Amino acid sequence: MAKKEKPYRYKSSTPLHINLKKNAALYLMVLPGVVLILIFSYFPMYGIVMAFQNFRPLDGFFGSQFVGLRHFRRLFEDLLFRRAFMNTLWLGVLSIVFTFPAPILLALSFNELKHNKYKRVAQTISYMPHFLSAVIVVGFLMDMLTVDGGVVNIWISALGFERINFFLLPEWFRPLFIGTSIWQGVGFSSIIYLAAIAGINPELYESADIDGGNRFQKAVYITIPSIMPTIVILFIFAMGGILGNDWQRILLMYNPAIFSTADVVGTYVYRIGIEGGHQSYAAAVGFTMSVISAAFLVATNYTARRLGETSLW
Amino acid sequence: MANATNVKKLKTMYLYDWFNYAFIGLITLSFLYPLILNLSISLSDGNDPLARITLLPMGFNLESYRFLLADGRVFRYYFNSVVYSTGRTFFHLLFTSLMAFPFIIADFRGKTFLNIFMLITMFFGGGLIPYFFVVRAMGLVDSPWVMMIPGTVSAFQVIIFRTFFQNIPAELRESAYVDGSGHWRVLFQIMMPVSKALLATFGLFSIVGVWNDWFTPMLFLRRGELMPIQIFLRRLLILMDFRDAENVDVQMMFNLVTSRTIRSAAVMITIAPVLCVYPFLQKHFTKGVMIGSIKG
Repeated sequence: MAKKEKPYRYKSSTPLHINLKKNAALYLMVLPGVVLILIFSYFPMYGIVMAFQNFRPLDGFFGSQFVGLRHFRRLFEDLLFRRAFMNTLWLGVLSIVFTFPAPILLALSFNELKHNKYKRVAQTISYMPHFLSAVIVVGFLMDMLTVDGGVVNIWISALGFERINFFLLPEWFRPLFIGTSIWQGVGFSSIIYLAAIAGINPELYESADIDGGNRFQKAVYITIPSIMPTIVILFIFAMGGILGNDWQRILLMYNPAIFSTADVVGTYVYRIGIEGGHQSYAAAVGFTMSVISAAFLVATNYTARRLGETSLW
Repeated sequence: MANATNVKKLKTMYLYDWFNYAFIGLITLSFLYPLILNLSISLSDGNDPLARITLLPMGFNLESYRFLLADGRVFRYYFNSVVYSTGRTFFHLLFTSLMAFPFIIADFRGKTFLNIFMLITMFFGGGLIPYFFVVRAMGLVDSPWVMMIPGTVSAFQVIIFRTFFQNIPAELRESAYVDGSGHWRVLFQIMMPVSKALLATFGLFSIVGVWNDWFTPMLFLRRGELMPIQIFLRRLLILMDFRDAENVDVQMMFNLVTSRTIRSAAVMITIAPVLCVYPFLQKHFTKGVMIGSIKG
């Protein structure tokens, strides 16, 4: 990566005003992008000031009254925030444990298939859920889990068990959330591991064949170590995103009956900030959360660098 | 010799292989099952609202589809989604290419500054609440532009485009410059045409992204005539709110449809275009995932 950056270091020797005139087109080209990034990325960054204000939409970011750290102090006593934070952490840990390794296993499985046509068809189908919207995925889930007429409950009662009202039981939320994450993402996420596997030097397998290594040994001693750098990089990303779950999907899945496990920081911020009108406090919660997330990313990267040679920076 | 043994190995199925094939087969079925089930429900009769459909439709009719398509509003939502997806994708590809191209021209000044300007946005952000109020302050609430403009240029994608442009042989554009072409001409007539694979990949991601986006319109679009199809679906599927399908009661009386068959039909017409297109672009997007990740 560092090598590719080199051409940018080139300094033009033409005087600035001549350059500006000659290359006016180039400066014009970047203009829309710069303006859009300024408005939709930098303005909201400035907008964090509202976490230190008593923000009122009519007064705006510049006219609202400053209140210092009041909202942040309130945060420490907020039991609902604490609950949301713990739920977020729970989902993060569960997705590292279950959602993260799933595509690796799937890619290894795909790799062992011998019939290319079967493999291709299965792969294409496995990408499909990635292209469905969250509304549809949650819609499928709700329909299948309905107490009356839902497939799952039809089977449960056919097997002689009591029907389960999945969406009203807090203990079911986490499995359902992780399950849908895997269902929707596993195929698409396996692409990257399959590509890494495809890049392995075939001579390694040939020499293993000569040494009489079996398939299991080849997977453990060649395939997995060869794709380790990919796994580590994606693991760092996953750890960095451990607090950034797909809370917009949770908005579709949850209801007050299961807030005790389903309410995460993202949904909490949305509920109090957009629906509830406590904008400043919600912004303070959001800001605190992004600081903690950033710290997580830095810490994982540091650990990865200490333990091995792969890191993001 | 090595080849012969390889071929032999390739076709011999060991116990492990049977397990593996069965495993992949089961997983594949689990991806398809909700879809098949949904299709069956959408084709079922409306006799029994609690019909125990597990695989095949109960009865067969297309009333649910006819009912949906007879309602002009559904077309409106569909049309809105088409406009938002294509519009946003157009701006996205255009602005991103425009921003990436100058980076490969040696004479362009300000690369370092712009680089930092973009990189900062990859690590810091304002969060939902400030973003909401910025968009509101820009007057984009209840404006179709909110679906097509904010966030069309992201640092990450500019970097990907830039890398792609860089790998196009410089001779190609230099000969055009020698022939007297300006920067615009070089970008639009030399660089973009040879970047079709890149544009197809990110075009697909963008179209699908907007088509499936329900959160942005939920935040910013309140007026019914601006609603995209996902908001309509959310009302039907999640909120079980049938205000957009007023005469559903009449139809139900004739046992032609149920709210459940209507929901399923709405899902089918929404995912049909996506399902028809993505398998053909597979080659591109698998490559696109790679371009995206290498830079990461």
